[in-house]
Amino acid sequence: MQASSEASLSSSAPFPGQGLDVRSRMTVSVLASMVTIALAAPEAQLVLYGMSLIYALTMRNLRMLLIAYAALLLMAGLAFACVRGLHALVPALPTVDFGSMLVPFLRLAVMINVVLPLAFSSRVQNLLNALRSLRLPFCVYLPATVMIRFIPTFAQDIRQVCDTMKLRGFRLSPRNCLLHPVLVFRFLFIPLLFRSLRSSEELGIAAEFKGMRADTACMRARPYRASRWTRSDTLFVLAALAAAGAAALCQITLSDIPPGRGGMGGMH
Amino acid sequence: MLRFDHVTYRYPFQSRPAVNDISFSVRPGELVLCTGPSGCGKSTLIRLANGLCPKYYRGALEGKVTLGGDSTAALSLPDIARRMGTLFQDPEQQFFALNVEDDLAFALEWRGMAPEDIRAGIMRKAGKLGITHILDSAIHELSEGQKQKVGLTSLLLQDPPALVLDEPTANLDPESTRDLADMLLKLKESGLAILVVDHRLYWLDGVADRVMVMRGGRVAEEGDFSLLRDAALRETCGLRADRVSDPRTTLPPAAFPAAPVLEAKNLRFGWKESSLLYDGASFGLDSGVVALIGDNGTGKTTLARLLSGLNKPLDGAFFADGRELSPRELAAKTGVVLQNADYQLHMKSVRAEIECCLALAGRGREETARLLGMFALEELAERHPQSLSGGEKQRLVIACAFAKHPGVLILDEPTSGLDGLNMRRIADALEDVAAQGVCALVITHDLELMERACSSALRLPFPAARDTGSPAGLPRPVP
Repeated sequence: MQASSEASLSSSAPFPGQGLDVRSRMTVSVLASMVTIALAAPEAQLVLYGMSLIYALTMRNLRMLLIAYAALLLMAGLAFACVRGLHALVPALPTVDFGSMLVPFLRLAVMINVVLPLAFSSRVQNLLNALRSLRLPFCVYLPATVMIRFIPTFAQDIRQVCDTMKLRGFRLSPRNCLLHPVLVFRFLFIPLLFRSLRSSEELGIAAEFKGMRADTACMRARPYRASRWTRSDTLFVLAALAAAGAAALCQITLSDIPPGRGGMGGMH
Repeated sequence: MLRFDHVTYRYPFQSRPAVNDISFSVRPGELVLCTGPSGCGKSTLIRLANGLCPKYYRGALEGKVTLGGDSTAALSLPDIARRMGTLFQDPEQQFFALNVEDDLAFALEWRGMAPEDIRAGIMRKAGKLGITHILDSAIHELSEGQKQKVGLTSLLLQDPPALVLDEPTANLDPESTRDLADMLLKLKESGLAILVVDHRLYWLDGVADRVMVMRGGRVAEEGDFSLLRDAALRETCGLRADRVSDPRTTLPPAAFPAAPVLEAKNLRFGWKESSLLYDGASFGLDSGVVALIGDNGTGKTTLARLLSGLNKPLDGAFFADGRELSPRELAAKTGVVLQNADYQLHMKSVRAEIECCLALAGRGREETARLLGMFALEELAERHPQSLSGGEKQRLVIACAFAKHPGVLILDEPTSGLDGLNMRRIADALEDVAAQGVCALVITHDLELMERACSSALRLPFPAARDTGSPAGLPRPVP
């Protein structure tokens, strides 16, 4: 049992990244988020995106990845429309064009690429142990774990909401999106909103009822499934560092923007 | 062990208390059953016992709830959980890990138990509750009955001195229900204090030491189980039957009609290629109320998903009027009510929800009043659907499925968590719709519903075709 470690989280076939230690996946997630914020050149972001996409694809859950991208596109679209709308109303406010949305979009896509495998393949207890080993306070690592744990629940909620739409006889087609935008909004977001509120509440209650609190004996306990740092983890982190280095090199050689000039940018 | 002393509790922003002047106790080695109509305050009683009220839901508490002599007001939620395990009606509320074994290990690991002790405990308890084969499964892949068993196993592993069980049999098959009753008897003998809140009563005959019937937030009647033999009390309080027969063995098999409403031929499906749920299954569905029955995890909900076009079979096809149906035609022909009503409610009022379903089905609004009346939703017509209680949501989503007026209406455990009055209301509505030529396929473990409404049964697992000489063990249509 112990040997199966993180590989038995789902009954589906394990994917290559599943054998990795949760600490290496966390390290890569933190590294990716830092580098993607630090670099601002589209070329550098594309390198990061490409490398992180390869990692995300090892999850073998293309549907989930596409759903996450669809949500990201929707958010980006809404942000774009809002900024454009505000600019039309008040010309003194800055506006955006598609080109300037590319970098923020890629930044979020990189985060999706690294966080989804972490959320779907990590044992919650190992995640907690890893966060605690960083000597983070309880009030930080518990919400962080709940946030990551929430992702699979949210994915499950999306699936059920889509099923319900089909059962009602409503197709999420481009035609319906154009002709019945309010209905699409209601069918998609109302149940998701209420379920998300309920799920977050339930996860919090479940955590407390499982006895989670700052002073419990688990600090001294041996984990039920031992998670070991192996050569694969070292290679994985080295590959991530190499990708970060390649992205920084891209920014230096192909762009005028020096590394470290991150931030949102793009507005003019 | 557990004691309520003149407890009155009011939720925030509510003018009336949810429970009013409640006093009772559950001693070690005692099992107390609490029942009553929907909305009588049973769920609040559980939340008061496990500390969620007022620690989580806030609100105003008068009186005192004590656990092992200590006021719950002075204990943290993890402390209360160590002294008293709670099995929620929706077991997903208590899962934190993503897979079964991890979730079972979670609380023990957090307590600092050695891995080998945890493993031995899990194997022992999982064996007792018959869930060893799903230890490696993801939680979201389980059937509702399996989730309930996993939730109970998790509680028993923590070995608390008291248990509170909220509708523990709502999704269990009758055999698992009987096993649970036997287990509770043993736990009671070992000294556990147990409070069970349930609409289903029959299974606790000979197990419950005392019965409390709640009404309007107060304890209306209290006594031993014989109290529930009073038919007038059951009628007045909308309770379920105190004893039921088992119609599963007596219901005739769903006949293979000459002109079925819907026909399935040579169905082959499994979530994993290695373990098929159906292999060469064929059956026909005629008008009437048909019970789809089988043990937990035999693929009843999966069959509903195939019949509604949500999933495609690996092999086989569906026919109506002698013609093979495309997935879209199949979806149009069937109406499905899934178990979790939260996903199925979208509009700003109950009335708008039904009107939206009628519009999508191409039907006029004039049927709204009839559907509201059929499911006693008139007084709730302007309420937001998400603000309704569990039982009210359940009635609303069934009304929405009726609005579609499908040829085959599939309902997944439509009466789980419903009191006697609402169970009878659903049964009457199913008979009405069946009389209009619809096949109402009811996935249920509810023996009372089966006895009252079902005229035949489709049994899972389907026998292999080669075992019987006829598809799925059903009579072949006469050519």
